[in-house]
Amino acid sequence: MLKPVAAQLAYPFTLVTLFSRFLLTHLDIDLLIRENCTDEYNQVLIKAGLRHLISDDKGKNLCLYASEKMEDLFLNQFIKQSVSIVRAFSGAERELLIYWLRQIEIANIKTILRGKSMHRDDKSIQAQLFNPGPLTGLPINELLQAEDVPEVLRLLENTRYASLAYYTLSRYEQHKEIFGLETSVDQQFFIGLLRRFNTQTAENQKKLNPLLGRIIDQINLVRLLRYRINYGLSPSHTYFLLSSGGYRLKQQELLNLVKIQHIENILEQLPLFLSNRLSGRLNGPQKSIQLINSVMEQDVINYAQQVLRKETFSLTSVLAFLIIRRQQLSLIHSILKGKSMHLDEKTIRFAIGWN
Amino acid sequence: MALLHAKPMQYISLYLLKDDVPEAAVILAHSQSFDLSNANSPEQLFPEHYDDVYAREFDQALGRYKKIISFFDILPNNRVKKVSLISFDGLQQTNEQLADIWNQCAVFEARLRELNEQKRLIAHLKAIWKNIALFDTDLSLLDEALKFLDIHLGIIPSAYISRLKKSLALEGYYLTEHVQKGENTHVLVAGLKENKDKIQTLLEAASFQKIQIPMELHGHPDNINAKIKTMESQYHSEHLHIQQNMDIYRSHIVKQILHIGDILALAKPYTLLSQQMQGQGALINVNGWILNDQVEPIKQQLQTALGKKVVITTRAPRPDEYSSTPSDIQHSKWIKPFMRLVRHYGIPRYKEFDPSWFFTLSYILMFGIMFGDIGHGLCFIGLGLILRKKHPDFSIFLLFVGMSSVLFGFLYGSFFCYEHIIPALWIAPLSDPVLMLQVAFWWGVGFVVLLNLFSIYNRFSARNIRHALLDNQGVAGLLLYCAMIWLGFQSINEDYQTSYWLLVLLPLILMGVNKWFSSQATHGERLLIIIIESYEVMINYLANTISFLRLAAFSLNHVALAITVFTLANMLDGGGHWIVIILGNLFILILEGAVVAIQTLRLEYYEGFSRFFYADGYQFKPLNLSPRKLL
Repeated sequence: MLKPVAAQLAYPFTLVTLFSRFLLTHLDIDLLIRENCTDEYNQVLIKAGLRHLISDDKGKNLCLYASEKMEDLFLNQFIKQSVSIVRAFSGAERELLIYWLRQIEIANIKTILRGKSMHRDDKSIQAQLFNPGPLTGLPINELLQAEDVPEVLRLLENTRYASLAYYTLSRYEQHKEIFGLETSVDQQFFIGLLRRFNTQTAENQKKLNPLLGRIIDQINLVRLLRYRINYGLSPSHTYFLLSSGGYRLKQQELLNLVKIQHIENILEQLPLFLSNRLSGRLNGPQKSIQLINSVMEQDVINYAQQVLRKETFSLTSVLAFLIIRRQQLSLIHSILKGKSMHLDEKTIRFAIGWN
Repeated sequence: MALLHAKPMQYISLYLLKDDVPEAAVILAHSQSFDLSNANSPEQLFPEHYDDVYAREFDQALGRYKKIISFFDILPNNRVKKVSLISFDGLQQTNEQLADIWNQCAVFEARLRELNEQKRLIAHLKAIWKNIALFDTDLSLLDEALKFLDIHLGIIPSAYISRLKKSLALEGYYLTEHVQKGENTHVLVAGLKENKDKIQTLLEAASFQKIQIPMELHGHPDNINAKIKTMESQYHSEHLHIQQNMDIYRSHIVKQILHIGDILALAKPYTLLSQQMQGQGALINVNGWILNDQVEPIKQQLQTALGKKVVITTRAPRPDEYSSTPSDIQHSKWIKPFMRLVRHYGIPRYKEFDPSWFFTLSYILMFGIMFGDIGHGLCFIGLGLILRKKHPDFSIFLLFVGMSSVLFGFLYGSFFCYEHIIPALWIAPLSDPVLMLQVAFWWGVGFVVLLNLFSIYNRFSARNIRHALLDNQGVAGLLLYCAMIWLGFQSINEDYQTSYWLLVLLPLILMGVNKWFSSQATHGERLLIIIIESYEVMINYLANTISFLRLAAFSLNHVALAITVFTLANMLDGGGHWIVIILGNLFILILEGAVVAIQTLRLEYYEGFSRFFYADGYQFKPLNLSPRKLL
């Protein structure tokens, strides 16, 4: 007989199992990059639940067609599946999953703030926004009609993003620059995520920690390198902008890394799990940061796949599915976009970090 | 029969010159009888869409106008004072005026936010004072320039504390927390002066708000409390000052804003038309829906204004357009609250039977049947009278359900749960529960039959003859239901014969034939679908009817709750007895009242509307010239 907790998770996990058949293997993605509109290629798109992209009824070859609308289409599918899974949860678990999905709205907030700070017109900002569907919680029209950044933030103070807006506005009033705005928004998002992580049961926390920790590791290390090397921030300032709660990059290691001034020395001091995978592949600061980002992202995906294979009836496996599905949809979108731009296989592989 | 239907509508097509569209828009809006929804031009004949510069300017101006109206709480005019055309330049000028006014509002808003911050700061100073008072220290020491030490006293978000501590430690600084207030903590940051520059940006990144120790707070803590109070009163007077400035500014601009509201209301019709109109060269085609009785007056007005430069054609909506034709349904204010409940479910499709009157009457009656009590009904009426000015719609609702409760209270002989004060004109529910159940059952039968008739009518109106005759809710469905009831009745009266089943089978066969020819599935699948669906239809009809037994169940429940209240009250003497009676009645009034209201709605929606109501219509929203409707 199932334990009560496991019984509660049986329905969402069944949904995850059902939706997992849309996940592609390494070979499938490789085939998508390699082939062009063949039967096997179409089969992979069908497997990914993207049958509507193969328009044999109108004869238009959509596999060579990508547009901003397609991005919305992919996102809609992701949100639809995510929402049906999240609805099966309640309490702190649901709160965490919904918060995780709110990244889409966070991206919209950043787009609006960036647009307003650059005095771009409403329509061009709106064209760049994602449609979060049932997760919508932002008064988009009002935000777009705001005259400037402070007005956007004041409007946000009346939404569920009140504390994010309050602190971002305080910071913006001191320094009117977009960098501060975006870092503040990101920082507040991760503070919120950590808060929700802390409300989970001890068992959930234990299982979630390696997955969420890996994501935070990736974000922290990439930011550390960008802030220190590209923007030349001081060690203390850089460290302050990082997030708490890493898994393999503990806070003490980050404290040591921020003190180092040159990228070569930072790379030498990277933890073993990372330096082994990077050896001989690093080439120039900018490309190195890019490579580290993609290596760490792949690490997150690999771990998520491992969770999905091994774990049963857990919040972590649901989150793992959401992470993989989002990443795969964005990967497929990038591949199709690359093909629509007639890029060759090698360039597409490089652009999406796929070897 | 406008009482039971939407008003008759015509599809109207205008062919006119591009330069004449603004004037036509104002004429159409002035008539308040033209709706643009769901009416597009044929793409092949009129392939050109037009630049929406005017619409963009209008949208920006409207956005600013709404913000200003809400900021100053101004009530716009109901109608424009003078009808005129608004040129693009005029609209642009209006938009600029709005930008200037909104900039001033933004200054007020920013100042109010600053004052809010000051209020927060005062609260923190109070907290500091409480702390410092313990140490018996002069606060001014923290502000003095020290030779080696760099000290900052301020507030940061509590969430940043731990990270900021570690970050400051990297520069040799130390942070101590003092008091946490809300989401913020006031802290003292200290370190060697040589790293001062580095931590400045760090503190800014942490939203550090420096607390300037005002001169007034320098000195011994004993005197500080009075000084904080002075700061507080300064805050209040500044707040008052800004409010007064806002009031003065408001009175200065209110006329201008009302005038701008008129301009925007005049610009809106053309904005909407320009977004939808299509054409070829200078010829424009605009389509929409117009009230039947307004066709001729509008034709005359347009032809008077535009002469021979406009061609107008009209036609009645086709049956396949009914779901996209707007429904203009008007009722008296007395049934408005009930209409709202109907709208909550959906808007009647054009030509569909409007269930508002039926809903109103049946809702009021069913509420009374389930909650018949003179005293409780009078309470509803009293509450309705009290709320008549503040919440007129809710007040009407309470008055009607209250009157129904009073009426059934007399029939049941129930007054504040007392069953023996007033003699029952008909029956006390608990005296014959079986009769109550029988009445509820026959009420349910009547309800279902009536709704099936509505459903048949709606299908005929939509020219859906096959469904009207052979569907589950069509004539065949009604025959099946009547046959089932009759068969049940005969078997109770022990007058049952197997041949009677033919009466049930005949409509089932008709429905089956209909399903067979509507389905595209294989023969086997069709047969399976017909068997399962026929079974489902019969079960549904039975369940729908039995669902109405709750009418009797709740009338009995009311008495049962009353008995409970009296049993409890009788355990006590004197004051205690009456307190239990009063509280018990309040409990019944609120809790049972709410439950009955919901149950009645449930019966209407699920046993009623779902049987016959398409509810997929569009509300008629004519172009208008009302500044108030801009909001």
